Amino acid sequence: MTEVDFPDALPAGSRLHWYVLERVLGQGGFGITYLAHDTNLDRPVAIKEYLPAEIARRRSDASAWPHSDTLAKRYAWGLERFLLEARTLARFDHPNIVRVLSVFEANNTAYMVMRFEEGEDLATQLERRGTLPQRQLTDCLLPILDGLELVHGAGFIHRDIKPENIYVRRDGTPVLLDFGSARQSFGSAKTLTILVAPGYAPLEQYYGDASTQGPWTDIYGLGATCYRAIAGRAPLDAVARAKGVLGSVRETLAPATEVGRGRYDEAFLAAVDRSLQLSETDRPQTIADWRRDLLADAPRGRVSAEAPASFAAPPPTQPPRVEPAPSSTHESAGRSEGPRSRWRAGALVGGLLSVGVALWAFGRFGGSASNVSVLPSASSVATTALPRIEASPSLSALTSTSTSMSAPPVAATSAAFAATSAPPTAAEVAKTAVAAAPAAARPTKPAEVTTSPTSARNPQVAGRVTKPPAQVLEAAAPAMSSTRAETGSASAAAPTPSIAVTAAVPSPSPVQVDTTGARSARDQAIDAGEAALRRGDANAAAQMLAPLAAAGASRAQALLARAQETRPAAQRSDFEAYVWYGIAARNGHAGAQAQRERVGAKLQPAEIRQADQIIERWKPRPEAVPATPGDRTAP
Amino acid sequence: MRLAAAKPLRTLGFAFLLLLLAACASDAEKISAINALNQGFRVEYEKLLAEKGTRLFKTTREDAFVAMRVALAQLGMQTEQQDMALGHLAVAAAAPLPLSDDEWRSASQLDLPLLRRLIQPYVGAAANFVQFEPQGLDVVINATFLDATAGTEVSLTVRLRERAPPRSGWPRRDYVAPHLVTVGLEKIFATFERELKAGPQR
Repeated sequence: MTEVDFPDALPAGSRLHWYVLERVLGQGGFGITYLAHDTNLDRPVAIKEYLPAEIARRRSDASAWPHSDTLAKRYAWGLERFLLEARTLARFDHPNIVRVLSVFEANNTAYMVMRFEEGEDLATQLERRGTLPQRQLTDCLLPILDGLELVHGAGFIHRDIKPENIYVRRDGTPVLLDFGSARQSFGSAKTLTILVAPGYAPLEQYYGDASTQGPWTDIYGLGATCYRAIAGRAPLDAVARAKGVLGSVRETLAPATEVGRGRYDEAFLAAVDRSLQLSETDRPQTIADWRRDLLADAPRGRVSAEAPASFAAPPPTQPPRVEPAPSSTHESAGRSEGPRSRWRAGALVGGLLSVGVALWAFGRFGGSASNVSVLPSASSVATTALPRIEASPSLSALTSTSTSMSAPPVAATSAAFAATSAPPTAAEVAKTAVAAAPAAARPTKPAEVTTSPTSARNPQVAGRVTKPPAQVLEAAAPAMSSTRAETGSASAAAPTPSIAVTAAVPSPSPVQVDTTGARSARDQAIDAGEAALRRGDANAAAQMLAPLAAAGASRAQALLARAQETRPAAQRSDFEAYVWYGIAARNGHAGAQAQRERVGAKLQPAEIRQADQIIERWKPRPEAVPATPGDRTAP
Repeated sequence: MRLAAAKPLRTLGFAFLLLLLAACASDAEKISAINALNQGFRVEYEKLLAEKGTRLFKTTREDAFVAMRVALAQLGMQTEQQDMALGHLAVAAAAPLPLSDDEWRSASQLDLPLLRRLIQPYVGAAANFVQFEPQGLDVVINATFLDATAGTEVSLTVRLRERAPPRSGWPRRDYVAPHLVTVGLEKIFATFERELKAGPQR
């Protein structure tokens, strides 16, 4: 933090509440971003200070003031927007949206405390590399789409999407930054201040009023970002393009289908061109629309919808990725090719045989005693791993063939878990667990994933077919304190039994999980959380387990409760431990009730009343975790 | 001059008396006094919360959550736990936050009679010299947000957290004095309501 570089910056060592500023991370039109140390939680944070250089400056007492009285109103308005940005971001808890930790006013200005992300922005990467191959581009783009979809769903638009605002963490996962221009997109007629990034801002941001802006505005920014990665240069500014169309200048935009031909899928390029249409009505109107366009040509297993870890440092010859079970939003039609069709046919026959064997076993040994290996979630769209049939005491396996998915010969490695500098989220763990599942447990066919369009587009049907009774599954799940072998990184390295699916099997009696048999990806993710807990990393465990608990997995809930109890002092929460033990107990987890009562002794009666009401009204959120093959925890 | 000379003497005498009295009370008596304090404050606190701890707001749970989070941050509280889906927010800060020094001082003065009455049976006359100081304490606030028919039900609870770990076998000072709770709840809800009104328009 040098005075020469940033003359308006607060000096290093300055204290704002319990944050001690360390250095300037950057300065923009809005103000200054600092790296700071949170002395309460002993962790680095990024703090954004509202100090727009055009209209305000710092005084000797560190306070910020507008240059003149006439600018005071504008300053106040900007300050309000700044606080609104914090509030906007506080609405979203998504791994690909920058996380706001707090906001406060001081020095006659405001400060937004954010999680400090280590990595570099996409603009810097593009500067260095020129262009990006499709795989890496989609690995960066698709998670951002997920996050942005959440933002749009809440009625907000970002309005300033460009490579500079997409940050790539060290583990390769992208995060969308700088919602400085974000505003609620619906229902406000307030005229907008023009905030545009040339090349990345659509025409309506120059000329339109608020009513013409919407998700399509962000889609333009994302399309322009893709164009930059495809062509090696940003698209022409929208105003110049408009003039080109009108003939007043000679410049027009070379379409992505031309500049990227041969290097990218045609459908992908066409989708990028569609996103860059000058008229907002010609663009995809929602993220879901555009995602469908982008992935229309992508064979599953080739372009991953969720593959964050590979973006930062892709291996030279990366094997095809095992696709997580397709979610409703990441569907692709999945083209049928010759070998794939043959493999699918083989799988179908194998599956039917397996079903036959299973039904025979079912009848022979009695439904109530049968052990079934796997259970996909409702949203897994009848995806089936086609593995070897797993022997269990009473039943071999059950398979379904409405959709088939085979895993690639990916060598399992614990490095998949260790590679990230930050603790992985549960979703990441779940994904990694799938990707890193041991080769021994997977079929040795080439990677390929096919999706039955019918089932994929009709999740209700798929759900009806594949969804097991959650309560029963949970009751059969191993106890929290089971003596299962250490998992997490270890689980990836140990041969794991393969997955089979009950899809087409009628289940007159409760389905039970073979606790010695198949381990679903989500089970492995829970195992990873448990392993983190055992090695004393309760924070990482809590991060991994939270979405799984929210999705309804009672073992994850009980483990999360334990993590909440054992986190470092400032993050420890007996209240949340009590809540999660209570929810786990309500979901039938053995032993959770006793733990709930034990933790309850530390709470005030009023806190217990609060917590009990939460427990009583709690509902699972299956969408909290991306669907994965073999998911057995979705309620 | 007389006053200036007398002040150090009085201060010295006061400190000496405190030491003397502190030495007079055994550990067992002090533990009993803290337990009595917790118990007595708890009764008042529960009454107060029943009256003032939960309020209904005509807003969505999400908006209430965001507004409360921003309101508490404005009052200097640091978010420690948050789960919008669960409807739980936990914040903490060194006492006297979220109150100012003045607010703490004036409210705690009103609580002194109760405090002294509660501990007098255990520490005798020393009770008259006890003050309710914020040093070494964090204030922890739990906010919960529940859907209600007409909006969102927002509940607050407040507790104290000693920064230094308690001595083995000693009770923790959990409960905030009643007037401090009252002033705190009113301040938080007032800030929250302002924040709700200033929030993004739909």
